Amino acid sequence: MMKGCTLVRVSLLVGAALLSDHCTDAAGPGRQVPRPLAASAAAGSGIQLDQWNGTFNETNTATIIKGFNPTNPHVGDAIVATFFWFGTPGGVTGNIIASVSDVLTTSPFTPVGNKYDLVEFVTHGNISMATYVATNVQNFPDAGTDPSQILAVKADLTVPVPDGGVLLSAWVGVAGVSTDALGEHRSASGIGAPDVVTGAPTTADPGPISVNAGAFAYGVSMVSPPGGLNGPPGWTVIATPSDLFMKGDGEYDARFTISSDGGSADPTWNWFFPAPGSWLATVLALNAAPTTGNLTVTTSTSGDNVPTDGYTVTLDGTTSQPAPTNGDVSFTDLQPGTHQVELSGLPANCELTTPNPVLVTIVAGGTATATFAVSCSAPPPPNDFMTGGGKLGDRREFATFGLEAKSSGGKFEWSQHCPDGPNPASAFCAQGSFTFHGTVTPGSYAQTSRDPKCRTWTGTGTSKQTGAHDFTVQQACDGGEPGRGVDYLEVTIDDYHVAGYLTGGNIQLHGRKS
Amino acid sequence: MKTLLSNHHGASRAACLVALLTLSGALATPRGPVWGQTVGGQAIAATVNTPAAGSQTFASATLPSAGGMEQADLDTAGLTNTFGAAGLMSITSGQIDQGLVSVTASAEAADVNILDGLIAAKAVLALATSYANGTTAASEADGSTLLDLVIAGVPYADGAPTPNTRVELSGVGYVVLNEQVLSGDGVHLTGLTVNMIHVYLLDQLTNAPAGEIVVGTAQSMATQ
Repeated sequence: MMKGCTLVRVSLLVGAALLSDHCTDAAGPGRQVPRPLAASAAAGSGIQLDQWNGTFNETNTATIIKGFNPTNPHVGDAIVATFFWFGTPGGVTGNIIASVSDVLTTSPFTPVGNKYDLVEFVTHGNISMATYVATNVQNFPDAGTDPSQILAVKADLTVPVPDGGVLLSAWVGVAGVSTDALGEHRSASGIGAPDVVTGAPTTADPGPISVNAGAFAYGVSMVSPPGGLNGPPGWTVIATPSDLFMKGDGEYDARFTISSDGGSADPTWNWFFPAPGSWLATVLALNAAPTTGNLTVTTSTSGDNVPTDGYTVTLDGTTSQPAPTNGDVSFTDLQPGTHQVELSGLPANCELTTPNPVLVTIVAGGTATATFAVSCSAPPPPNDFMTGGGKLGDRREFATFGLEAKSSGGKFEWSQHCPDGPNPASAFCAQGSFTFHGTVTPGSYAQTSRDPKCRTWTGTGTSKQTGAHDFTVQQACDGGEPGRGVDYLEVTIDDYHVAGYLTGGNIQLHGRKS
Repeated sequence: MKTLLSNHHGASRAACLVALLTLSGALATPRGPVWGQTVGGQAIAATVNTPAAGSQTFASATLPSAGGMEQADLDTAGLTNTFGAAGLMSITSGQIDQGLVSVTASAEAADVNILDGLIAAKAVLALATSYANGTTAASEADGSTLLDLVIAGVPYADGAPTPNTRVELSGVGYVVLNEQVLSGDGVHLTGLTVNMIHVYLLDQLTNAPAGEIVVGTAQSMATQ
């Protein structure tokens, strides 16, 4: 079996004959080699290469398998596995990989069960390359070094191949859900040939992809026959495995992993073909795991006299949002950890039936919930009473009124003036002029939710013009003195409904029962 | 003849009207639980005092001594060649409270015809509001209005005329529109009388008072 290039931190197990000259020239100008995870972590956050390994020269086999020896990745990593093979066994073309799975290197192997999704398959001539990704890998010893507990990834082929290999890389900080993790990806292939006149290389280019902020780009190229290589400028080499029939090169671009902006990535490999052959190239982006979480606060209110203005939800005593009496309000981009959520703004007739405040735990990438249940009841009859009189409306459509209301009853007088006759388009004069004499129903006098100085009541009465009617004073509000423009009145007499601030007169809420 | 009012100056005479009503008990001034608190309100849709008709009031409401609300209405009122109206209504409401004394009075009439068409109006509304809270006492007539007013064939704009607008009535006397009489000290005591149409009848030989016709009288008074 094999291990990696000597330029990188993990030694390869393969023989020296399988290593290419890339191991000695890959780190040219503008190119980098991977750093150990600890060093990368110290430099900042974002996606980082955790572990990698690979193997080539797997001959006449229907299984290509490689472990992360000597050190497992971290649980939760994303694993990128690129499988390479040479030849078209039995004339079979296309992706001959039946499945990709992982095992622990027990004897016999123990299935682990992480899911590997095909991202790209590309083939040309006698060579093929397929790249799979698994996110949030689980169920193995985290960073374990026990040789019998090493995580290995294998591809089961539908037919044996004369020569195959795999490059594995594990990444910290990739989004845990595959649909969130995988960004743009694409592949390309072509013919390669030596330029005997100029010695110019053949360029393998999968094309550009966009890379989100915080994401990284993974690129891999393969040629046959093996040749010299100048890797993508500015990219960091993972490994450049090679054998007698084929050669691969895995690279990554970490420019955007700690950036608040995204961009594009377009790796190009310059291959020096010793003889005519084929090249393959793939590039893909993996997005970063979210670093913040969200909170949804749900309010539900039951009972009578439910407030119309809603409540206030305050997070950690500092950030407040209005909340409906029944509905949701969201807080986003919250730091992981414990947060306090508090509901306030309840009127006197309402009380919480669930704890308040509550503590919620925010998990990066998740949405925590907090639910508040409120129960409201009709407030006790106010120990006050209201008198008033005046005018509502103006110009040639107005009403005059007088009122006296308290818990035990009262009187209500209404006179609608429409000197120009009925006007269907007018709330005041749709029915024309009328007078109404009403009696307040005992017990109906109550405080409204609009304002502590607003009262409501109902009653019955008679109009000389239109007969008997029920009436409701939805709101009679004492806004101050004088009442014009500040005192508010809303009245319904069957289908007659008017509301507004007084244009004359006054409504007075008296503080004690008469 | 003897009239209800004793001089020719409308505003002064209206003040006297308040005083007379108060003294006679027509304008109730209930006294509250705190010394010095009083509230009074009265609304009269129309008053006619002429030699032919005598003294008559139509739709008169006076605030009860304990406060509250009082109302009076008439479908129609008529005195041949002198006064006619429909939809006469008066409302007064108010109360003495620990912190505030407030009162509102409104008087209204429709299809008003005075002196056989010399003065006509589609609608007359008088509104008077007074309040006193111990530091401020104020009254106002906001909302008072006259619609389709015509005097001797001359139409007037809808709304409330400038307070105490006097219009001569040849051979009859004169009329004061939106007559307002304000009283009080602005601190503890306030009162207001609003007469939207106040016709002063004069003897054509002696120019002596010969009667009056008032449509839309609203009176309010508060002391704290």
